[in-house]
Amino acid sequence: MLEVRQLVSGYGPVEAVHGIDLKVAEGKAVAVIGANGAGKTTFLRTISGLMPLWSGSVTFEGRDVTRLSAHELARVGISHVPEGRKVFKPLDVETNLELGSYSRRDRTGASTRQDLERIYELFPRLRERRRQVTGTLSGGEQQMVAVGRALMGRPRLLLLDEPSLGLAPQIFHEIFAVLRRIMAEGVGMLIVEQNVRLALENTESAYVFQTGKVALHGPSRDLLTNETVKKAYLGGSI
Amino acid sequence: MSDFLQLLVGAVTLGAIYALIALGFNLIFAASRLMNFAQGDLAMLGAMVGVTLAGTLHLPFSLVVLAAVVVVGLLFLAFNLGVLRPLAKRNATLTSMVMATLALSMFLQGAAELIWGRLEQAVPSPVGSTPLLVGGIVIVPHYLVVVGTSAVAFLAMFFFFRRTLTGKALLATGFEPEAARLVGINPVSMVALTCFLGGGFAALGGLIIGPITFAAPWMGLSLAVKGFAASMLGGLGSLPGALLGGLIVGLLETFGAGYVSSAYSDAIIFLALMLILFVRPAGLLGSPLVTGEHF
Amino acid sequence: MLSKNMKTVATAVLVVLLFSLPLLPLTKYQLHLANLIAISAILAMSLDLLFGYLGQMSLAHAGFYGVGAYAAALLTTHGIMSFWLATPVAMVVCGLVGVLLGLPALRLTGFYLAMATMAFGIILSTLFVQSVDLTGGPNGLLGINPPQFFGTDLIGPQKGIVGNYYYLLLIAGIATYLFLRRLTSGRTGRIITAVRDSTLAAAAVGINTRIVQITIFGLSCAFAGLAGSLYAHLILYISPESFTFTNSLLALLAVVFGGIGTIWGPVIGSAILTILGELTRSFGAYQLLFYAAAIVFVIMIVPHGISGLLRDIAGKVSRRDGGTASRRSAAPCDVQPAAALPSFEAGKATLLSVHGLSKRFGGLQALQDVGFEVRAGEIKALIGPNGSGKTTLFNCISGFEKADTGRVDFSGKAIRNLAAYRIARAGMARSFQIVQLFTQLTVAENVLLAGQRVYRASLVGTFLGFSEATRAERENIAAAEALLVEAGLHERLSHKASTLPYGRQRILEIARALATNPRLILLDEPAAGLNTGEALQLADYLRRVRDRGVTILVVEHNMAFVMGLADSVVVLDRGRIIADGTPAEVQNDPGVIAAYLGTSPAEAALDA
Repeated sequence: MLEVRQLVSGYGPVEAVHGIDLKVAEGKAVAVIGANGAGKTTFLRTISGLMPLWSGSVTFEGRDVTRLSAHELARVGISHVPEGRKVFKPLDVETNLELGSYSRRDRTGASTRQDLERIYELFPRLRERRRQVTGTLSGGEQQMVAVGRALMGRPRLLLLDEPSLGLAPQIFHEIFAVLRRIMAEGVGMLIVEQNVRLALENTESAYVFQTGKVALHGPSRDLLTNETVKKAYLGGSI
Repeated sequence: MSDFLQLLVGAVTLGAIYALIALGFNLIFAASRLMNFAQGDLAMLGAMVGVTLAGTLHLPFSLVVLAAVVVVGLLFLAFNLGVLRPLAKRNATLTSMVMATLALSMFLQGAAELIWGRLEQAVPSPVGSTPLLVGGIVIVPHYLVVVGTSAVAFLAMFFFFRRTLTGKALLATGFEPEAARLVGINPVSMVALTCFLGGGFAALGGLIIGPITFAAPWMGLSLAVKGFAASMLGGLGSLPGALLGGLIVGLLETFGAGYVSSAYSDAIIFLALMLILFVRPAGLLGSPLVTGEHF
Repeated sequence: MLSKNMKTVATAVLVVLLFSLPLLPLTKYQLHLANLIAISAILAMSLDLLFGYLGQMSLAHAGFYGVGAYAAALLTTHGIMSFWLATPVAMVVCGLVGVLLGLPALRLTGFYLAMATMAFGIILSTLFVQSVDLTGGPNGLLGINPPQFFGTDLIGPQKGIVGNYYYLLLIAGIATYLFLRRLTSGRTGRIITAVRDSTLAAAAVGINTRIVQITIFGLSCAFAGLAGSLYAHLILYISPESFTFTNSLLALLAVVFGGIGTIWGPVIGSAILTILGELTRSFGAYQLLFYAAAIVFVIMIVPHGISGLLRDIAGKVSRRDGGTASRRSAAPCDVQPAAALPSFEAGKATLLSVHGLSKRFGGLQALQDVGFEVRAGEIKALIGPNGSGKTTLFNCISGFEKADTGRVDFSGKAIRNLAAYRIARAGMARSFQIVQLFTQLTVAENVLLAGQRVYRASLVGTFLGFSEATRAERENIAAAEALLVEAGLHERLSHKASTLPYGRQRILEIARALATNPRLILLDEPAAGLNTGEALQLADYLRRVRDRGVTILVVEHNMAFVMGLADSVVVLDRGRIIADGTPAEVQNDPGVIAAYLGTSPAEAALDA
C-alpha cells in the first residue's frame, strides 16, 4: 500500500537519508530500527510531509503522494503519531480526539461520536479523563491521546515514531495491545522504535537503518535471530 | 452615585472598544504566536475608512462597517501573504516578524497622513447625537452601538471557538503547529483566517471609537498599547481574557481620569498591568500552558 | 573571519580615524551628528546586552535613558555635583531603578516581560511630563550647565568645543564597548548565554540565575543612564518627548539593524538610523514610509543585520585567503594534557537520605511520605509507572520544586527546599528528562561553564586577565577535556551543542553535570531514546563514573538497563514507595509486577 523509492532528505544543508527503498504491504506492520542518528525519524517525517523531500518518490495505494504536504497526506488516509506525542496540551482530551477527525471530509456529528466511542473502548482510561486538560495527564495517557487522535482520522496507514519512548513497561504493553487490535483490522503500520525487541515482535517485516541507508531488511522473525542484529541492538544482559 | 454610574457607562463603552482590539490581537496570537505592533494602526485605518465613507460619502453605516472590516482584514491578510509568510519560509526569527509588524505600523501611519492629513477628523455616528436620559444618567446613543457591536463580535467568537471544529483547529495550530498539520489542518489557511479576522476586529474597534474620540493618523499607538494591555491583563490568546482585560482597562482609564487626573490615567492602567502580571505572570485568565514566546 | 593581524590593523585604523574626526573639515552640524550617533550607540549597546545576550526584550530603555538624563541634569543644574560625579551617580540610580523593576519583572518571560517593560516605560514618560516641579514638565529642563574639564567648557556654541565633547563621547563609547565585549565573552559570557538558553540547566550547575538576570538588567539600565547623562549635557536641554515608547522602539530598531548579540552591530545600526533620521527629517509623512521600507529591507535581505552581512563578507574573503580559523574559540584539547579526573572515597555511609517527603499539587497528592536512602558509591535506580511522581521526587530533592513536608539530608546537611543552585553547589548534579543543554554554547563550553565553580577566579581577576584567573581557566579547560574524553565527546568540542545527535546530547548533559565535581548525580531517564547497543555504552560509562566514587541515582524505564546496572532499586507508585531492595528482590515483588512491570519479570526484562 505504501511504496517509497530512492527517498533522499535531510535538515538544513545536511543530507540525513540517502536513497531509501521501502514497502509496506496492505494491512501489514513494518518496523524501522537502527542507531540514534541513523535517519529513522527524518525518514518518517519526510514521508508524512513534515520535512521537504529532496528526491525520490512516495506512492500510497497506487497514488503518487510525493509532493503532498502534511495536511493533505492526512486526508488521503495516512496518520502520523509524532515523536514526543505533540498533543494539544491546553485542550481537553475529547477535543484532542475530535481534532483527529479534522482530516475526514465525510465526517458528521454521528460519525465522530461513533469514532470517539471506539477510542474510549480501546483506551478506557481516556473516557475517565475526557474533560481533563491533556497537559495534566501522565506521559502514558498522553501517548494514548496521541494514538487515539491519529485513529480518529480512520487511517489506512499509521506511522508511529517511538511510541514506547519514556513509557513504563505496563503502559507500552497496553498501547501495543491496542496497536495489535488495529492491525488485525487491516490498518497498515510503519513503526520507528528504539525498543528493538518490542518492534520486531509486533511487526511482519523490518528495515535496519544505518547512517541514512537500509543496511538490512527482511521478515521481523528472521531479524530477531539474526546475529548482526542481536549483537548490535538486542544485546545480552547489560 | 450618579457620577459613579455616569463614569461606569463611559468606562464600559471604552472597555468594549479595547476588548475588540485585544480580541483581534489575541486571534492573531492564537494561530501564529505573533505580537502584532500594527494592531492599533489597523484600528486607525478602520476609523479613517469611516471618515471617508460615512463622513464624506454619507454611505449607510452597515455598509461602512462591512467595507472597513473587509478592507482592513484583506490588507492585513495581504501583509501576511506578502511579508510574514516569505519571512517564515526563510526561517526568520520571531524578532524579525515582530519588527515587520512594526514596519507595517509605521507604513500605515505615514500612508494615512498622506491620504487624510494630520488633523483630527470626525466620524459620524449612525444613531445621531441626542443623548438619552436614563434615571439621571446621560447616555450617548452611540455608546449602545459600541457595546452592541462588541457583544455581537464576542458572542460570534465564543461560538466559533467553543462549538466549531474549525475554531478548535485554529487553537490547535497555535499550540502544536506540526501535530495540527498531521491531523489535516492547513496552517496557511488558519493563519490567513486569523489575519483577516484580527484585522477586521481592529477596524471595527477603530470605526466605533471614531465618533467618540475623532480619528487621526497618530491615534494608533495609544489604541495599540491599550489593546496590548487588555490582552495581557486578560491573558494572551484567551477569548474571555480579551473581554475582561478590555473592560478593566476601560474602567481604570475612565475612573482614573474621573477620580485622580486624566494626566495619570495611562500611568494607572500600566501600573495595574504590571502589578497584575507580577502576581499572575500569564494574565488573569491566561493558561500557564500558553506562555508568551521567547525571543 | 579576517586573520588576526588584519583585524588588529583594521581596528587601529578605525580608532585613529574616529579620534581624528574633529580634525577633518566637518561642519559643526556634522560633528553634532557624530555626537548624537555616539550617544545612541551607547544606548543601543546597552539594549543589546539585555536583548541580544540575555534574550529579554525591554521596551522601557528610552525611559531609563530619560531617568539618567534627568538625574544627571538635575544634579549638575542645581549645583549639587559636577558632571563627572553626576554621571556615575545617574548610572547607579538607573541601575537601581532597573533592579527594582527587574526583581518582579524578570519572573515574566517573552511577550509578557516586553509588556511589563512597556508599561514601566509609559509610567516613566507620564512622570517626566507630570512632575513639573522637578522635570519642568512638558516644557522640559532648560539651562543645564555645560560640563567642564579643567575649567573649560566641553560643549558650547563654537565648533572646536563641539569637538571636545566628541572626544568625551568617543572615550565613553569605546569604554562601554570594551566593557560589554569583555562581559559577554569568556567566563561571564558563558554564564549569560547559559542563563538565556536554559535557566533550569544553569541552576543545575550552580548558577544563581535570578542574580545573573537582575545584574545584567541593572547593568543594561545603568549604561542607558550613561547615554542619558551624556545626552543631557550635549543638548543642555531635555524634554519628555526624547524618552517615549517610540524612542524605545527606535533603540530596538538600531539593535536589529546592526545585528543582535554582537555589541558592535548596534553601533553601526545607531549610525545608520541617526543619519537616516536626519536625512529624511524634512520628508514629513514620507519619513515613516521610508523607515518602514528600511525595516522590511533589513529583515528580508540582511536578516542578521549589518554586522551579519559584514561577517558573511569577511568570511568569504578569508575563505578565499585560505583562512581556516573557526568563529568559535579553538578546541581546548591543544592547551594542556588531560588532568586526572577527581575521585571520591566510596565508603558505605549514607550520602542522601529522604524522610517523610510529601508534595501536593492542587487536588493531586504527588508524593506521600516518601523515604529512602542512597549510600555513597552506589548506583540506585528509581522506577515506577508514568505519573507515579519520580520526576517530582527528583525535583524536590534537587530544589527545583518545594516539598510540603519531610526531610532531605545530603552529606549530613539538611537541604530540603534550599534553592536549586545551592544544592548544586553542595555537590548534587542532575540531568533532565527533556535534555536541557546550553544550545548556543559549544560542546566544550557547556562543560567549561559547569567547571567554573570548581576552578574559581575572582570577577575582577577574570575581567582584567590576572594570572590566577588565567590559571583557573587553564585548569578548567584541562578538566573539561578529561571529562569529554571519558564521555567520548572529544571530537566535537567546537560544535554547537544543538548540533549533536540526540543520544550524544544526553551524554553531554551527564558530562556537564560531572564537571561540577558532584558527590551525587541524579539522572532522569538517561537511556530514553537509546537502543540496546547505545544503552550498553551508557551503562559502561556510568559504571566508570561510579568507580570514581560518584554516587548515582537514576530514573529509567529500560528494565534491562536498570536491572543490569543498579546496585539497588526503589519503586514509586502513585506517590508512595512500594518496594526498596536489590534488583532481584524488586523484580519478583508481586506489588511491583502488578503496578509497574505489568507482566512476569523475565518477560519484562526481555521486552526492554
